Amino acid sequence: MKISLLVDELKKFLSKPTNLVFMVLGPLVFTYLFGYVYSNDYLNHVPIAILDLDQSSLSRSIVDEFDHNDRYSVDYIVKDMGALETVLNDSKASLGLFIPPDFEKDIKAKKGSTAALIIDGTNVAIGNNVLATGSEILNTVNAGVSISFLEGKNVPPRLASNYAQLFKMNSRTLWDSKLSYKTYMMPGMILVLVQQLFLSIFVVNYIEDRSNLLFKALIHIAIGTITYLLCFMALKYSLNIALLGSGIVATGLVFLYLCCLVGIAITIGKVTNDRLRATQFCMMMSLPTFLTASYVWPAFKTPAAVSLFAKILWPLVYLVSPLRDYIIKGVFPVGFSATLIGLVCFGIVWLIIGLKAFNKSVEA
Amino acid sequence: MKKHLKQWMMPLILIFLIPHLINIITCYMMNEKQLMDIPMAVYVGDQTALTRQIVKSFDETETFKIVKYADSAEEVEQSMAVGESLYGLVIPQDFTKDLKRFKSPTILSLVDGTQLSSAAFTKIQGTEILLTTKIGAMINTFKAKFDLSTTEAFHVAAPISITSRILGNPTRNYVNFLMPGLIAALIQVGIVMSTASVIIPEDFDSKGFQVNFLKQLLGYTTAGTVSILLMVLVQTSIFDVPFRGGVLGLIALTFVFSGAVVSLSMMLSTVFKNKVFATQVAAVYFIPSSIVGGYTWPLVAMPAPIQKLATLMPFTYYGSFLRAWLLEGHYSTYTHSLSVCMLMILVGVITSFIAQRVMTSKIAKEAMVLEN
Repeated sequence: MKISLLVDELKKFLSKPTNLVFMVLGPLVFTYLFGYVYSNDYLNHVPIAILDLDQSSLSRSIVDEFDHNDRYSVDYIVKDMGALETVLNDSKASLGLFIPPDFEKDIKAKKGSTAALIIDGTNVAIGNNVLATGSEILNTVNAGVSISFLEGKNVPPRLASNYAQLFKMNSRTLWDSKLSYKTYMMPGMILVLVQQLFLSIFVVNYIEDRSNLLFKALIHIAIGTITYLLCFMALKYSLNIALLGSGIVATGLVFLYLCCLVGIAITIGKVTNDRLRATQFCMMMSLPTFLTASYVWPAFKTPAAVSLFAKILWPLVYLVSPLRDYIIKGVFPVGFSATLIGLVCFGIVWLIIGLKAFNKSVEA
Repeated sequence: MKKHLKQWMMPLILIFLIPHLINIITCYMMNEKQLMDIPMAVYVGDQTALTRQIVKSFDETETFKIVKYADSAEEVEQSMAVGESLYGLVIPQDFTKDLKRFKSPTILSLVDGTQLSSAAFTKIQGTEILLTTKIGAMINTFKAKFDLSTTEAFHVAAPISITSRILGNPTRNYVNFLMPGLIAALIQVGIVMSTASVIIPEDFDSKGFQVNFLKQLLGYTTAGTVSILLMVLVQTSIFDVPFRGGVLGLIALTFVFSGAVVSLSMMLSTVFKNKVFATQVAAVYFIPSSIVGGYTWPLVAMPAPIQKLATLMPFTYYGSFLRAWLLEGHYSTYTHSLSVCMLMILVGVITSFIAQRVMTSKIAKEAMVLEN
């Protein structure tokens, strides 16, 4: 009897092609689309502008270092500061390198000189990356100049190098050495995609037909969960994102997550009570839920009031960042079990609210 | 009156209520504006005055907050793996001894590459702190070894002083960087969700349809413009986002952007009879534009086909403009953006008018067939 109800619901689900198109193909297509958007791991060949007022062998060697670095492309050689500022202000270049007159002469005379990096900082993530690489290049040149000085003082080359590199500073970037947007965004994005399309389809189908709520929910949750697994596999095997976490464990967590969404989905169905309004509302929620989920802005800097607000109204904050950390690093973040308990509590409370709303609508 | 209120209730929620609530919440969330007190783990394998000084210089900055003193380098990595810290510093055993023997010991800094918002920043700040310590140590060495004055020793240790100037957003403020464009993108979604279902072509003759279409276009465009301007007002007056551009320039491009979104969305509403489907299609077209439009990940870094796809989205011409207009006061491709958005309005209007004519003549033909 119960199996026949489940089969009935499955038939109903499959009878509408848009269900499968939106719930399975939708997240997969967007996974590939966004993966392709972020496919250039590095921000390569950033256009830069150079103002070299020295034109010495040292200044030219610095310009060469920038030109030969994959990160940069020297697109503008300008003649004065006004032109440099114009190129930066017009966003034609993201970085400007200024080398003053008498640069080499002052350095040789042990007076020191200054090289300035001028960065378009409107995009913080890009600005930081561009500045980090620029500073690295100039620090390397600096060490080279120091070694030359010391060799000029008859210090043997190896010792000169050790003097100039009194201690070495190695930097290792863990889990994603390329600091790519793809690895940063995609693991969270697939959960949001699955969530949004699960909600949009489940709520609309629930408004259309309120029978067999349990089986209806189960069918949608199962399809959403399978879609997540497909998206996970697309990230790992097709988009080549290094993921150390287990796809099965991650998928299990997403199954739990979708279960916890059912209560809020029923409530949305009750409040909107109209397929169109429900679609409008559900589609509208993708960006707000992502923005308030402590994904872009880290949780440790989120004020407690905002965190509480997000945790009461939407469950994404419980899972999106911990799941991202788990699937990339293969280790659950500290305090994850408490977070999971929070997610389950959220799911239960909203399920009670949703079922009350459901009973009222059935009575009506 | 009640009917009008009901009709406008959902658009009011979608275009005004939700975006403005999220605007206030997220701007408040990022109220610290810069990433500070980033948790870090330290392993000090060599307890000397110098290594303690290095650790102290990290702890004294606003950028870092030491949350863990580890017993090994592996423990630092473990602390980062479980998300306890986002930056790690490993000072090896015999560091000071090796330094004094000029063996060039290595200090290792570890950056959590999964946290893009903090990774490059911690790398820059960490390098700066270590470099300052290194130059100090080099000056002392050079003074002792080569009989140089402090100034000379400094210029040998660091012949090139590196200064950096960050234009537009010098404090690396995240509210300035993210919020203007992302909330504009959210308002765009609200406009789209409200307008992708408003047109019912078969209810009108051609002239009636055109008048109704233009009325709706003007009404929703104005609503979208007012909402975006209100968002800018809140961000600039309450959350200290700078406003460096001209007011008229902002209003003009906001109005045509909003018009382009409404026009294209109403075009979908005209073409698709099923309004739920039209809304879903509009969502699929417009929602990704906050990513594809080059606001957070620049267009120049995207593959060529995506760059071409982005040219079809109104947000591509608005998101980056809005940020540049507020932070820098100018936008190099302003006229181009204005023209493209105007063109999009025209495309939406003309396509809708043609689609309505085709649809109504088809219905008339079917009616005639039925009558005969």
